[in-house]
Amino acid sequence: MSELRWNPLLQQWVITATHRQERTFFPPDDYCPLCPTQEGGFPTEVPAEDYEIVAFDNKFPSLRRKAPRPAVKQTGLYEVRRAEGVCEVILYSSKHSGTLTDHTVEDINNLVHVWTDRYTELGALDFVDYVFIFENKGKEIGVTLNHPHGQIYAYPFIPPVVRQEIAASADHMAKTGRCLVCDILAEEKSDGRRIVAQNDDFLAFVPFYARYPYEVHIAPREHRCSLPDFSDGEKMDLARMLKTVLLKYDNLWGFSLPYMMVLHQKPTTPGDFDHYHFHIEFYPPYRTKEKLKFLAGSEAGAGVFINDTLAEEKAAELRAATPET
Amino acid sequence: MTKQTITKKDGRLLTYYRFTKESKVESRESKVESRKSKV
Repeated sequence: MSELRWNPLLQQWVITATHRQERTFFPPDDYCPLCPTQEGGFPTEVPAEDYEIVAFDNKFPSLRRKAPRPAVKQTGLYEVRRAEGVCEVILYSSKHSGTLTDHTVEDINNLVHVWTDRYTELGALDFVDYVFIFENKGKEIGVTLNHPHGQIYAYPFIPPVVRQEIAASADHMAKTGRCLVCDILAEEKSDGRRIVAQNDDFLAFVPFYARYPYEVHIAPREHRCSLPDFSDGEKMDLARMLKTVLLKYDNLWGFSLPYMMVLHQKPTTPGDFDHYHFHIEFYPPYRTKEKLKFLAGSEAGAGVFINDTLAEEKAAELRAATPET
Repeated sequence: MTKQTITKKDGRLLTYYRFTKESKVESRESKVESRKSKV
């Protein structure tokens, strides 16, 4: 069963997807469904002996290209829609072990090109309003397959967090005539204490308003709305910046740091979103080397994050982590 | 970058992205097909 149910209190959609209870949960390493299919072996998701980068429809999708009728009828209060959309898995390489950190800058640059292509292709579907690219890394985040991979959700609506950022950006533009994230970048550059790394085209920083202790945002110095706006040179610089941040995360405490990585870019539905500024956000779940940050009562029930740390101090720690910046 | 999209047996789409000139990618299904045709 899969459908969209409208929450009239929060004015946002909830996706029900009961079939996802059956999804593969930490299979043995020699029975990985994301590895290439070997001759005489069991059939995996990829019917090839080897591959570089692959994107495919998730076997246990929350959203489907041809969505079934909802299981319940809507009422005047409770709106219900088909869960139409696309859920894809992106395999970073055929190699089973390792993480994105282990990939070369060239490999990551290839991934950025694939992200760009998926954004364009999925965004062109008439039932898709927003293409959300992300990676959940580590069992602490709820990952159920170890093979390095990311995901894409092509939603039939603009998700609420991005909707809120778009509204704030539009409001700032109306008041000042300037892009909100461009102004944030100017403020971060001026202050300097929260910058983690920078190169010709990108800035990585722990935002002033960080919700997670080691939250890092990566944004282009120039105003860009989405991946197709980037030149090849900018894509390569994004790959370099991703590699730098990923290395810092893993070298911070000497273990591969789990995180959620999300790409925020403009919607693909028609509309004026040129005021919106592309950026990537990382949310690692650790607040110290041994302790996790949980989303508890205030965060989950009130939407108010409590950060036990100062962004300025966490940025200094990340700057000092190898490669030093 | 080149891409090739196939439809899997269960109807799901899968896209291969290739960046190297001599890609090692060879479809297991096409290999089976070519063997069949030889027979």
